[in-house]
Amino acid sequence: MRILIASGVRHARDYVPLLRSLPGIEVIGCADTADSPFRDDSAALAAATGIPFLDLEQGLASCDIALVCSEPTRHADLAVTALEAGRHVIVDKPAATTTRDAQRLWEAADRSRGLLTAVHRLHSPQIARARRTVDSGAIGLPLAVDAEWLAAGGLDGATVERPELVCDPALSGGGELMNFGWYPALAIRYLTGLEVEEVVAFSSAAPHAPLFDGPHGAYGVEDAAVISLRLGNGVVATVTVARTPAGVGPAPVSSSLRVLGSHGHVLADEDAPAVTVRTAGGDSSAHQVAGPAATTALRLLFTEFCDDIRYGRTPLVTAADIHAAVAVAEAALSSSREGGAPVAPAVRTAGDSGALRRRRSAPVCGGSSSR
Amino acid sequence: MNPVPVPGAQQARDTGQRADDHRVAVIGAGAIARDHVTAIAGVPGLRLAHVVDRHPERAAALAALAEGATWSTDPATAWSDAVDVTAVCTSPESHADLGVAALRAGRAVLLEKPAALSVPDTDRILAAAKTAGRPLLVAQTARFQPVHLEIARSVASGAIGTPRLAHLTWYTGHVWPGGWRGWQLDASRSGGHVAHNGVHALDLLTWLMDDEPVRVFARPCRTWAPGMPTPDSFQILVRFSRGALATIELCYALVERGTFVRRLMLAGTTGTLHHSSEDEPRTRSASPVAPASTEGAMTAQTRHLRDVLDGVAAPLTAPRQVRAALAAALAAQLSADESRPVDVKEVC
Repeated sequence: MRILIASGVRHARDYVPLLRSLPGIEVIGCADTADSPFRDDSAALAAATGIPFLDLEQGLASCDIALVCSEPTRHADLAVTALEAGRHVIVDKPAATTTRDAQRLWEAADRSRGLLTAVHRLHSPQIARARRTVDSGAIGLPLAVDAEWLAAGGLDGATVERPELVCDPALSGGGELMNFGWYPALAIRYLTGLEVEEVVAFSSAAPHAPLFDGPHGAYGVEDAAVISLRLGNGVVATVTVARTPAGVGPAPVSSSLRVLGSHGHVLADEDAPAVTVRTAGGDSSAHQVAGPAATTALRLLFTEFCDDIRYGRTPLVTAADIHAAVAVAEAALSSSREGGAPVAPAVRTAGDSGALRRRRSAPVCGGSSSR
Repeated sequence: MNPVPVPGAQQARDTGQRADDHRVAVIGAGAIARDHVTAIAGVPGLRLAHVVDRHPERAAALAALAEGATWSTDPATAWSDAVDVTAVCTSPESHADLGVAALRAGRAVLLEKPAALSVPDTDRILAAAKTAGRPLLVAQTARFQPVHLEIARSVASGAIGTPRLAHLTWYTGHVWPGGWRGWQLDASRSGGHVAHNGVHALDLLTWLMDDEPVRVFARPCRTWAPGMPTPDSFQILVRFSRGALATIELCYALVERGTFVRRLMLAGTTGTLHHSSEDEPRTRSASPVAPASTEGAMTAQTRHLRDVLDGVAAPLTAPRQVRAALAAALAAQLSADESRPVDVKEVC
């Protein structure tokens, strides 16, 4: 599979070496639009990773998959362009920053012969294991989910290329709620198979002050948010997202989940299991068994998507899932702006009734447990 | 005739009682009163002197656990001259009146949580304590769990700077004794589950974050016992006066009684604290022994009560914290009942 990095602004510096390590995948280059505000970043990524810097049209003509890694507010435009060129598309997270854009993506995917998916953590071993536990019936019906996603620092260039890419709403679509809310929203959907009906959120966005000493306040966006969800069938969930000065675990991003069922519960911690090493000098480090969950999740995402294309399967995360996750983040932003007023996430509103019917019957984040 | 001494047996048992022991009267003879009596027996310097319950047989049975303890069905005997401290262990709807009466009679008071079922009643209790000049300790026992004392020490030492974000998850396999008779199932007596059990978590965070909740949103959830007239589980979002945020997830839904999942993440301006009961060695099945991180809180609280009575410690539950936590819990109950976020001042 020939993969084009369609704009190399966010995460591409991590994705390119990972993609290159996978058999059967070739990274053919990085491309960006002529009017991209980050065209220099894309060129720099190409130079740093030793891949050609291409014209977007030229790159799309010669790839199988476009991996969209622009600033988030340009994800939808680039993904739609690639889908309209008949390419398969993986969009970096969050795949869109508004449900209007998510809907455009969905409609473009419906029209395209290319498959669409987005970067997610559902292949993370602990999340996949929790899903298997739910599917086994061991905990009965899942009734409540408690999810936490915390990033430790990283705005110094360590994990985020430029602070404004997660802090400037014109580039990011919001603060950490938009940046990270995507992951737990997808995970909760994956584990429960239910639509979110109501969102309540408190955040540190203006008029409140940020919780920590980062650049979020200068842009009026949140560095932390606490969210309550009501899903179908009376199921509930909470989401806690933040960028904190220090993390919970050894990874730059730590996430954990707890699922309460009618007959039991299951816990998931992406930092576990790990082996701890302590040296005579007093240093200690934790090594996750089978490597960092984030890397495992990405590796499986890329390889599984290639198989989805090759064997005509439905990707684990579809346009419907993308829309649903974006709708939760958007509703949470809206609720937090209104002091926590309950907000119903947007649903697809186009007059395309065929597509609407498809959405209602579409599997929710891997509806089949056979994967 | 004395029995024939058995080798190794004590012939003259020292009950440990001293003339200057603080004499405790317990009002209420239910499960929590029994826990207090057990803890009192383990703390030198305190002595169960008297038990009051409206059911004579329950009062007598509890008093029988302590040598020399008397019992009565008359609440006023719990703040008589023969008593130094009154432990109010009745169901919540009677806390305010009993607590105020004991304080006005000049007794120190250990008051089970929730302190009251309204903020004005809480204010009445706090005012009575202030006027009487007598100690008031509200039994927010979660503060005395070893892990929370350790976290409090870490926060006080500046280990994480100023706490700004908390995520507290407590799951417990719990079945209320008494079946359908339990006062916990009657919101008019308990204040509602969000109020009477949510106050544990809200008090803990009020204390650890040294701040007061100003806005809450609570969402109830029915899990293992959907037929109960009160949700067995609930979540609370909290905004504090200085902007800090918290997610609280409380569940009494674990299938096996006696099992626990306890987790607290506290992120501060310079660091993050984290504890999970999953990290500590313990039995994997239902156990009569609580995790080490939580075990012994009642005894620690009772020892603290003794220190308060000895005049060597101030009650850990400061009046402003008692009021803030209870108000937040009542606001959370209102939020859960009406499915909307509630400003805490709305219930004040």
